[in-house]
Amino acid sequence: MEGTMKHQLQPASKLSWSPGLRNLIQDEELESNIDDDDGSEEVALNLDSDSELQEAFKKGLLKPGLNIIGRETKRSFRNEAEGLKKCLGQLSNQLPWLERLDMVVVPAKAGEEMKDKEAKHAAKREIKLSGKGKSFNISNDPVHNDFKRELHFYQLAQSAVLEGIPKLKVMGVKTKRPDDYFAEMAKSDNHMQRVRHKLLDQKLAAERSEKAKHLRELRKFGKATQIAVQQQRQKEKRELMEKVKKFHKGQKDALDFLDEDKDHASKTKNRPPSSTHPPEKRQMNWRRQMKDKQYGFGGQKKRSKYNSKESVDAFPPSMPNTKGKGKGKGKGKSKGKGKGAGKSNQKQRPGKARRQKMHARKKR
Amino acid sequence: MAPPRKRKRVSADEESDSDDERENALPTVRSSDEPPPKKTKWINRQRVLVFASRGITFLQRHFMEDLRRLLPHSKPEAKKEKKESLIAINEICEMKNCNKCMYFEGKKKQDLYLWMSNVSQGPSMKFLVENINTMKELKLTGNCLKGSRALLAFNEEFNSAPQYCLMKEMLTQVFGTPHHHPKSQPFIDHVFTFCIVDKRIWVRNYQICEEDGSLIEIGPRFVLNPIKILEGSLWGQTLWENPDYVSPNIRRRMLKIAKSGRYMDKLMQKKSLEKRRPAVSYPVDKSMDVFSS
Repeated sequence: MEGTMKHQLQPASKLSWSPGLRNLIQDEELESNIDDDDGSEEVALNLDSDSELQEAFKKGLLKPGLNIIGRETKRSFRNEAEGLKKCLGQLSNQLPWLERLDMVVVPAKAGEEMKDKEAKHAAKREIKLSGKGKSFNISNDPVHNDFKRELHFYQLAQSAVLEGIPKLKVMGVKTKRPDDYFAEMAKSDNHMQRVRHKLLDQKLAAERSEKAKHLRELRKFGKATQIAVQQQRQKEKRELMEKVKKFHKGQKDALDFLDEDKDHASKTKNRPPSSTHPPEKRQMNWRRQMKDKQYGFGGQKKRSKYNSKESVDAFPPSMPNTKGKGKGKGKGKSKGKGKGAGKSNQKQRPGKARRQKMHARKKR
Repeated sequence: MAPPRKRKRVSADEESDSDDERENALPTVRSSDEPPPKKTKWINRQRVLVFASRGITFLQRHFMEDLRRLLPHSKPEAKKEKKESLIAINEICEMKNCNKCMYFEGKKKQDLYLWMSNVSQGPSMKFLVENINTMKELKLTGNCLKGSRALLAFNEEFNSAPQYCLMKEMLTQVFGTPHHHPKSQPFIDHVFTFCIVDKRIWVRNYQICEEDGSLIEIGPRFVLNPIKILEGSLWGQTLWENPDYVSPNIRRRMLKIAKSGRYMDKLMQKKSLEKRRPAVSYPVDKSMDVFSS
């Protein structure tokens, strides 16, 4: 079983040796394995120790890059048929079949259903693997072979059932439990629930993927129609340009075709927008709207504070609120600036002396 | 609980036997209500000790527990220390009153070996357990009663060689639930399938869904790769060895060697390319340059 590994003189991959040398080494191994004195096998070298090997290397018998994996030592495997039979005789108990329930059976013949299953699986695997491998062969596919093997086991069990159950029925043994017989099962209810869940999930996933496939196909079809429409438009444009050219060259007198085209264009433009763009029914984003209201939306903001003709004319402003619409940035600031502007309208602040007097009065 | 009760019963039987012998006749008066002497229906008294060594992985432990659950005639036992010799198992079995044993031996936290033995008399056989799928896996959707009996299906190859015949007998006795076993259910609702393919025994367990032959797999799934058969129970002469068996250690080593060889090959290829690469790509005559200006 274990290959005897010879010394590795130098790292090498190739076994480059002369046939004569190979013989030598094999003989040597024979000798070491079986202590056998053979006169004809007068071997000059006895390649046992390191030093001898080195010597051989010096002589040039061994080439660098020699790496010999010795021949496997042959192991004899025991197989004593007599002993086995005797053991079988000891072990076997002469009990009726009902106690043992063992059967040697031939796998049941595959029904139509099974054959169909196998063919389906093979087709599935072929589709999956045909793209990848260069030389794909279903008989070499391990997954499909696994499937086939499992089917074989299944058929074996099937034939055992078909043979055994009637036999038991003849003997009057109950095989099926009645529906009202409750007992502990090998797998708990909890576990079976999980199994059921998984099966359901699988079914759902299959349905979903089927649906997605269908949609993908539809989309493909949609793409085709889109391309057709684009081509149609390009064609129309080309034709129009040609006609215009002809008019320029004087080949055509009237410009009727333009009207025609306009009519055509208007027709295409005025079609109901329902198909591509549904009427604006988008839900209002209230948050966005409020932000727009507060901070402004659209338009230039950066030169909004420059004086303009209007603003200069409006000075001193009669109206406090002269700031441009959509002028960004805080209300608070504008309030502070607007102080001077709103002077005329606002009540003037009383002078210091008066204020102090008012204060004193309040305090009292 | 069970052994003492049983012992009592046995002793009672013995007493009654001895009484019978003493009296040598039936009692003269018998009440009509008196129950008739009980006839035990449970003849096939197989008891299988299912246990493992220390150092098995969780998957292997679950697998073992599945087997215990499926075989009502099995008995559990604490994990065995590896230091103890295999022969000690015989004593453990005797103490537990078992005549068969399944001993799982975990090695290197990855390989699982299974010893099946007929205790005290032999033979015993060793398998390597491969490709374990436990009953907990969700893709195995079947279910059966806990402790119901199973049909045992073997394929024809089991009759082809003496070692396979012996294995069949052993598997029948270990996996077959005895009729009228106290812990068993009286129905037969699943099938154990043993199939020799590729010189290994593939074991499957199916629920009998309909009696016309539609089945659902229950699990566990596993493959037994036979290694050897011993004459005695976990000792004795080797009767058979599998010549095709390669131990997982050797297989892993070979893979490693193959890998290392790949690396060396790559290095050597590079070296040889360097060697072979010519110094001059194309011989050019220097005098040709004279005319080009």
